[in-house]
Amino acid sequence: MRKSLLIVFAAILGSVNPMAAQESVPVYKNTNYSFRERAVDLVSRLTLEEKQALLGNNMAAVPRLGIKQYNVWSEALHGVLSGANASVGLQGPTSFPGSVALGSTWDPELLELEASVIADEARAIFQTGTKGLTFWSPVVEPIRDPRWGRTGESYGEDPFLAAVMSSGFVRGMMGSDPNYIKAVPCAKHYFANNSEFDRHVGSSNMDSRDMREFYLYPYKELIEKDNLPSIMSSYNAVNHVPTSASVLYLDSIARRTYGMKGYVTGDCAAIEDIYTGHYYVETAEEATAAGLKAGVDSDCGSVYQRYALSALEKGLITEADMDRALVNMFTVRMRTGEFDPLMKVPYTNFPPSTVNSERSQAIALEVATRTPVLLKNDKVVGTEAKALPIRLDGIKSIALIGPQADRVELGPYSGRPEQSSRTTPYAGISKYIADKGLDIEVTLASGGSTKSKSNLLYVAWFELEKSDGATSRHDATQYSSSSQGITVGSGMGTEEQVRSIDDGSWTAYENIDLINVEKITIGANIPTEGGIIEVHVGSPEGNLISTIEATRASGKRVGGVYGASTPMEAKVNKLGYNGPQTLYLVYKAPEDDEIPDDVLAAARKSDVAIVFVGTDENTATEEADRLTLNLPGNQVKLIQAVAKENKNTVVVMQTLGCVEVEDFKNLENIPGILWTGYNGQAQGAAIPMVLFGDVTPGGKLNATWYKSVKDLPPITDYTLRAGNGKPGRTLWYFTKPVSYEFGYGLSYTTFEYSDFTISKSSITPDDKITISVNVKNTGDFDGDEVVQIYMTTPDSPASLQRPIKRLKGFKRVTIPRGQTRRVEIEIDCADLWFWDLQNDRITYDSGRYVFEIGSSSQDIRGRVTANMNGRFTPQLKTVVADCRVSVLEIGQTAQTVTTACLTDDSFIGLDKAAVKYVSSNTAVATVDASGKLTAVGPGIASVTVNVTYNGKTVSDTYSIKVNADLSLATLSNAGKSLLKAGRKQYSVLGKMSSQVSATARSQQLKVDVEQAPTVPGTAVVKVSEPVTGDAQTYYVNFGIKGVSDEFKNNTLGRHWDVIRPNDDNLLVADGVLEITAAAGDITAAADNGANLVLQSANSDWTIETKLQTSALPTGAQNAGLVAYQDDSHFVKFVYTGAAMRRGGMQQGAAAPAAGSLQLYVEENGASKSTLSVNLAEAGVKDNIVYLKLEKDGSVYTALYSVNGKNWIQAGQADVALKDIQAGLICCQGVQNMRMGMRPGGGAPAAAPAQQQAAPFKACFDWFRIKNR
Amino acid sequence: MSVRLINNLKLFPAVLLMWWGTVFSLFAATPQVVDIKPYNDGFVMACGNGMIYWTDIDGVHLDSLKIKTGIAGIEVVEGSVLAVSPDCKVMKVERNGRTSRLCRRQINGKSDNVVGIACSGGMTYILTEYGIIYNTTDFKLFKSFNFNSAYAGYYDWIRFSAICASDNSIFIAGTYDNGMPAVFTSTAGNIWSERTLTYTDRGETLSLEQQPLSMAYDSRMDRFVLACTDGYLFYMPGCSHCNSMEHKAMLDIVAVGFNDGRCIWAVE
Repeated sequence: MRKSLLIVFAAILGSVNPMAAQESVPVYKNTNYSFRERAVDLVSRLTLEEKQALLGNNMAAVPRLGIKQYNVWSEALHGVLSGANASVGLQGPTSFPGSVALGSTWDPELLELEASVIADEARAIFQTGTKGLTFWSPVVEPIRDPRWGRTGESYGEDPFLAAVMSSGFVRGMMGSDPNYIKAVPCAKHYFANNSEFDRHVGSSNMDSRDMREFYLYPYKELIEKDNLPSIMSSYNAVNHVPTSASVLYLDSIARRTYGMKGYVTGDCAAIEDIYTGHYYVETAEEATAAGLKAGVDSDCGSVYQRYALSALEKGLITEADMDRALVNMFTVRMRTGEFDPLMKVPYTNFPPSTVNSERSQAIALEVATRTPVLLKNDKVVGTEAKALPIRLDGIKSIALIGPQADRVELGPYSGRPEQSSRTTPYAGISKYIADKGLDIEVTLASGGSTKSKSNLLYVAWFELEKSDGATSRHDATQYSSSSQGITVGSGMGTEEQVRSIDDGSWTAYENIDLINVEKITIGANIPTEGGIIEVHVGSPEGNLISTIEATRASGKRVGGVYGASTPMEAKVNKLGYNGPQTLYLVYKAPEDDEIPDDVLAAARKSDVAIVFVGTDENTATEEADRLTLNLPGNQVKLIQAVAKENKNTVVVMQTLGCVEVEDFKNLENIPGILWTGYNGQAQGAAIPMVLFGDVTPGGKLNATWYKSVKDLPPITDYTLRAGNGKPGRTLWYFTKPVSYEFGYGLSYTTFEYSDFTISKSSITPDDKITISVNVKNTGDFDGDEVVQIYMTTPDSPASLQRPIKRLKGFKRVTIPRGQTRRVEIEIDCADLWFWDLQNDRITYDSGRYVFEIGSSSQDIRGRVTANMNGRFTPQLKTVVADCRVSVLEIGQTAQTVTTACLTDDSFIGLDKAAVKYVSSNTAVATVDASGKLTAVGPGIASVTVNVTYNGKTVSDTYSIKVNADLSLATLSNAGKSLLKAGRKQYSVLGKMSSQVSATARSQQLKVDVEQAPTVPGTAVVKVSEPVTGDAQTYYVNFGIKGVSDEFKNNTLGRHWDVIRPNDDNLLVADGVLEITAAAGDITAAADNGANLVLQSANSDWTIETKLQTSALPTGAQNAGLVAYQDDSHFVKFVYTGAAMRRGGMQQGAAAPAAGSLQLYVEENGASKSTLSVNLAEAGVKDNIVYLKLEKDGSVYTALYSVNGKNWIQAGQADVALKDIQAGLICCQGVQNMRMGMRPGGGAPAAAPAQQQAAPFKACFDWFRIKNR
Repeated sequence: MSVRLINNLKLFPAVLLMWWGTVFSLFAATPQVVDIKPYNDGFVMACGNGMIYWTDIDGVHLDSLKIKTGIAGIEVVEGSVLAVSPDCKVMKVERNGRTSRLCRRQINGKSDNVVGIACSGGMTYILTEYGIIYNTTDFKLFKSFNFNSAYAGYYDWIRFSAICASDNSIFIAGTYDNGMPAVFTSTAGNIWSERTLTYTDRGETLSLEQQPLSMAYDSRMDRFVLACTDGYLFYMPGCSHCNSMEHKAMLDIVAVGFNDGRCIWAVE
């Protein structure tokens, strides 16, 4: 019975206008194009909805273009931020020393090495598909104020140090390949974002001089010298304009002045802050527009992804604004090689074992030995021996004391290696001594705590309850007065809270009715350790009526710095108040713990007591500044107590930066003090190497250590220069005595400086000079010295308030004992600039430039001087050109917009320069002498703008895509036009000529016609743009008239063809075609359905049948009509089973069982759409349904009836099919089911076996076809 | 199975007591609560057996009725409750007891079940366990998007369990084959971005490991909230940096709802 229908094209292919032998590669996949051109092409192919979905950090997958999902947000400040992932064979990434530690090495090459290994690990992780390659590191903001919660993430106080160290990180991450980026660094947080408590709402106010010289300096350096590929716009405003909404800061300065090419991400929720924190605009759509227009390409958050299209609809943005952002983002993704063949990308051979490999661990240890800074090294009382290094041959016992002695503090944004890779000081020292075979008793006596006394609580509200149950609720942020320093903010959330609560802080509330109040409930959040809330009346010291212990120690919930308030209640002591009172909430830190006796005993009995103290992530962190610079908890008390017990007490501090040390640094029983920043996973292995003299400490402080927090201006003050009674900031302007100055650090050895020289005594900004000095190691140890050069300008007018000094060069050198090294440091005189406030440009003071050469900013060993002479002639530096759009249609024009910036960071008008525009492909776009671009043909073109000024030419290039019009100009058959607008499938009925001719709308387009080999058959017309690979396919289906069949004969007529025939299950008798369902189906899960009874139906038609099944179909059993190209392309309208319900929820009990109708479409083997109609109340009798399918081009309309008279539309589907057959189907169906696990655990269940429902029969009374 | 509803605002012991007394007895013998939505100044809660309860803001029972179909999820639109059954019938239910059927659509007979309904931007979305997302504006013409099919090879296969929407966002949640939770967001239901489910706890970056059972939108805080196994609520604000997690109960939280800062949830 089987009549196979085989349509063979091959013999005819090629004889008539053959298809191209090879498909064009789309530009975005074609590595012959630049990354930017490819990104433009890719973006041109996206729908608006896709574009919106790609504007956030969680970039959606777009399967049709091969775009994988991608999270732009990853972190790698000192190791890739993630943990172990056994499912892909990954250990936890290596944790290297953190930024403040690295800044103290003064060794950018070492940092470059660390970053290079981080990038290796990043590549290994990327290859597992679990992380992207864009990392929001490093933090390049200079340390303006040590209270900043993220001080530990910065490289240093002087912007020069921050810039040079950041450069090492950026170079290490990016790798050295000229085309591909190994890992993408992102400098943050642009800019002046270094107070945490108000970062979402605050404005960092300053003049343009502080802005340019201090806050923007690291960004300028990284962009101009290292081609930094990304910056992150910050939460805060600068001068009342949110940085994330500022055209000036992002576009004019970062892109057009410094020349940044790459993407800008907003910090997480920074776009939201534009309207919810700063109230700079009113709506989310306006915030979207402000961010996109300013140049924030990616929103870490959801504002862009939720509101971009509505902003577009409201005219607040253009599609070109979205395109520009996406082109910037995709250009960077492409530079990682993500869209290229692996063979072309140089960084694709890092197996999972790269992560925390032996090499990584060794480098983590090496770096950790080079970060420590020796702050004090006096002789031990009563001896002639210095405290450090500790000579192990002379001691029998060591006490390791303090909360950090047996703890590893990695610091924020670190790799998270397994515990086995983290070495505590106690473990490291014990192993060191054991490895040496020494008989020294090591006693661990932790003692002390690091409990934070900063930011005790966030308080949102309080509620009073009277004895009769009446309550009154009060907003805690609406206080009538408060102690100094209290702030109100919402952080990341929307709940306004009283913040910046320190020990002794208070807030007051007037006119509070306390009559018969029995209970108070306070809505408070504990960021870290919490505190005590005392409720007083009348004054902060007035009657105490209630106390709440809102502490971690008391078991209260700790919400963390992002947390919302939790109710905490307490009884109120009724004191008989009769009228309104002023209520005071007084906040107190918990009492310090006492120092345990066993700790003191351990100190007493040991030859050396080493006290390990420090800060941790509870001391200060993102969202939470320090309110004090004291060591947290009772650590100062611990140090003092131990020192009383042991005259040879060495303090080892690991902190996020400066802490106050005046209370113990001069104690004679503390002859040694060593400091490091967070020193990574190997901190405990490195410390014995330093303490016991294997390594001589060579680090230098990366910031000033102030004597007291009271010496500092308010943290909200972003100005640097002294004035109006406030002190200046940083080593540039701070004049009070300090505990340790910037650049300070001792060594076990000593260094003598001599023979200071400078290569030029008369300089201009165009010069490069070399300052040289002999450094001799005059001590008993090999050691490192950091030679530092500070610049002063004594001839500058006092009115200009030039900095006391600025760091302008340094070099860390290793010098064996007794040897001398000539240290040469090159200085680019262009870098000696100041910002001219009046003229808004870089300037250079005339006169003497004194270069102080020393071992710290105060330990100056010599000076050399040069005179700045001559007139500074700015040269052309940065040219930026674009035409505001990325995609054009043929005939459209766009105007090139070009800016030109000079080396003094000022802009020139183009009328002062010669400008030439060159199109890379004039067949695609032409550009005239004025920069007007005209799209003339499909493809990709790049326009290069050459600007010449004072003999120097600088260029920039932008790329555009001109879309091809892929619609047909003509389509005809036998001299008759078939063309209809918007149609992709045409139908021709009859056996006339099947020859098709077609033309495109442009001669540049290629038209391939694959003629129908016969009738019935399909001609395929493909219009393609050969350069971009853009293509559109049209089908012209030639069909013959269908044959209706009432099944009166006892066999199938010749017009029928049966796919996968099974004679046993197919019967024609008594005017009925009966198909007994066999296992299988033609849906995606199985292409094995038997007995598809089909006839050619390759035109437009209506088909109809009356169907009666032997039983109500259950499960996936189905029978009905089908329009069939092959098992991967079809439309099926069938009567099928009701859904199975979860246990206990069987619907059958409530409604009559009647099955359902399903319109199912499959294209390219995948389900394209599924529409179903429940027949429960349709009145189906005896399992009889009438089905009808109407085809019009590619549109299929499904209708059903229960009586053959009244038809109801079930739904429509749209799919272009060719070589179509139509007919009848009946099969058992396939359970397209995936069994997961029960929520709550357990392994996934195995895929179930195909459902074994009882076979059922479908009887078709007729098949009627009416051609159109 | 017993179902309890508790209130996270422990400010009002009398109310809390009433909660425990009233609501516990109310629901003690009912099937699982499947969804909770804000309703005017209170809440509306639906149980799998078709019971719908209206409460005031403190959870005090006001009205209830039972519809004929089972309920997989509910949504509140202009004061009416839309209840979707596991086989995709959608009923419009008024508090006065009037009910009307909006559609009799039935999902395909392949063991799939509707897990929820959500409305956003004039569109109603219905999600099935296997990732079919139906959308309609009139309950007559439905379009569908097969998530797992469309993203085969790009996202791993997901068994879905919850859908929720705000004015301009749709969130769907489910569980990967390996048992890890997954959340995706979209604005129009055709393009879906995966939501990162990491959160920070005392400096450690951790990932949600509990399976999502239900989801709610907290309009006051503009955040979506997952109700998870083991008694966890997982908060997802607009800032993807700022997820947080809270342990609320020892049992699985099967439904959660927010209204003007009040939150109620049901445990199983």
